[in-house]
Amino acid sequence: LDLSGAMTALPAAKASGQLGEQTDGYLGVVQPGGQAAEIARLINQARRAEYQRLATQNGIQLRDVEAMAGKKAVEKTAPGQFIRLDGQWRRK
Amino acid sequence: CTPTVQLAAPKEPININLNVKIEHEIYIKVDKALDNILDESSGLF
Amino acid sequence: RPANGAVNIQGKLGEIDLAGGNPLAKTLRDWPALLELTGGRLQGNGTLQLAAGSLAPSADLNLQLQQVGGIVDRSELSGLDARLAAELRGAKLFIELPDLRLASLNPGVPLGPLQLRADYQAALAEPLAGRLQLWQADSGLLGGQLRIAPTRLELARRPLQLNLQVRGLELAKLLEVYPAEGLSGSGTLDGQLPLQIDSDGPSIDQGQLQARAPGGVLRFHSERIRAFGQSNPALQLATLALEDFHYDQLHSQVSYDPQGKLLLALRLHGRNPALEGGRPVNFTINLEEDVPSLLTSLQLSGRVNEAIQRRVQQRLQPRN
Repeated sequence: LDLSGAMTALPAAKASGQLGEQTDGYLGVVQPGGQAAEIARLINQARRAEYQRLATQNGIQLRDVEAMAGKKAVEKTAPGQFIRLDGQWRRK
Repeated sequence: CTPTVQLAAPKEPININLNVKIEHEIYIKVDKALDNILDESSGLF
Repeated sequence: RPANGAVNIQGKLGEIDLAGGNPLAKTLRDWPALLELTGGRLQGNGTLQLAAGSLAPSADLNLQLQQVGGIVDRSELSGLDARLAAELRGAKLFIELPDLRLASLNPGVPLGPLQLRADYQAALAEPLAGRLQLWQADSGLLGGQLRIAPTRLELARRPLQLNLQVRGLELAKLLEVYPAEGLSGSGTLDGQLPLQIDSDGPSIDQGQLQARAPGGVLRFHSERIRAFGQSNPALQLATLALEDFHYDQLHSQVSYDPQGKLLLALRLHGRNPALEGGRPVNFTINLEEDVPSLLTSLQLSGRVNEAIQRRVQQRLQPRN
C-alpha cells in the first residue's frame, strides 16, 4: 500500500468506523483490522510533513499547527464518523 | 611579571535604529491553509 | 389594584441556574447575541410602584450574580460575582454596583482577578448620558496590576478620559503569552496610559512604560530572522545583540488608535556580553503592532476555548 492507495481507501475506512480524527491533528485507529493501521500511518506521515512545512514557513511551533489542525479535523468530521475526545472514541 | 594587555571593551555605544511592523496574519493564514489540507479534495481527510 | 389607584407590583426572580443554558436569553428579546452564559447562578427581586395620578413610576431592582461564567463576544469570562441595585425615582435612574468581582477575563491575554465598584445616575429620558462615579477599578495582568484611579465621568461629554496605571507587569509573562517563536525575557514594567474613549473607540496618547532598575534580559532566537540577516548587516548586528541582551534601561512611549494600531517608540540600552566584549548597545526601536489581529491570532491558536474560535472563524468567513 502506498500513499495514493491510502488516500483512495481513506474515505471508506472513516465511513466504516475503522479510522477517526483526533484532537492532535492525526488519524487514530478506532477498530483494528484490514489495512486500517497502514492507511493511518501513511496519511499521518503526509499530514506531519504538511504541518511541519506550515510551521517552518510561518515561524510558529509544530504543536501550534497540530493543535489548530486537531480542532479543525474534529469540527469538519461528518456526523456519524468517529472523533476521539479526552481519550474516548465517540461517534459525532 | 609580564604586563598583560587588557583589551577594554570599546566605550562608545553601538547605536541601532529599527523599524518593526508586526504582521499577525500568520495564524489566520495557517488556519486557511489547514482548511485546504484537511479537506476531501486533498486526500488527507 | 388597591382602591386608591396605585399600582404596586412585587416580583422575585427565582434563583436561576445558568449551567443548563441561559433561560433569560430565551425570554429577553434583546439579549446581546454575543453574550453566552454557561454557568453560575442569578438571583433578583424588584418592586414597581405607580402612585395614583402620577406618571413617573418608582421601581427598584436588585440583582445578584454568583460564579457566573460564559463568553462575551470573543472573550471568555469566569467566576463573576456581582451585586447590582437599580432604582427609579421620579424621572431619575440610580444604579449602584457596590461590588463586582471577576476571576478571569480572557480576550486572548489573561486578565484578572478584576474588581469594580461604581455608581451611575442619569435622567430616565437620557439613560446613557448620565454621570458615572468610578470608586475602584483594577485587574491583575501578566503578574502585575492594571488600575484606574477613582474618577467621575460625564458620559455625555466626549471624549471620556481615564488614566490607566500599570504596576509590576512581568516582561517574562508578557513574552510568554505573545505568539512569537524564540522570544523570552525578564524585567518588571510600570507605566501610565492616558486612555481616551470617543464615539469611534478607545485611543491612548503619550502613554509611558518603563522597566524598573536594574533592568533585565531580552532573548530573541529566530532562524528566519537570522537567515534574513545574512543579506542585511545592520539587522544581523541587531539580531546578534538581541540573542542575549542584558538591558539596564527600557523605556517606551505608547500610542494606540481606535483602529487598533499600537505604536511603541522604544529606547533600549544594554549589552550582549558575547558581542565585542560587552560593548554598550543603544537601540531605538519603532514597533508597530496590530492589536485586533494579535488577539485574533491568539484566539485562533487555541489559547482560548473552542467556542470562541468558531466565532472567530465565522467572522473571518465573509472576508476571504
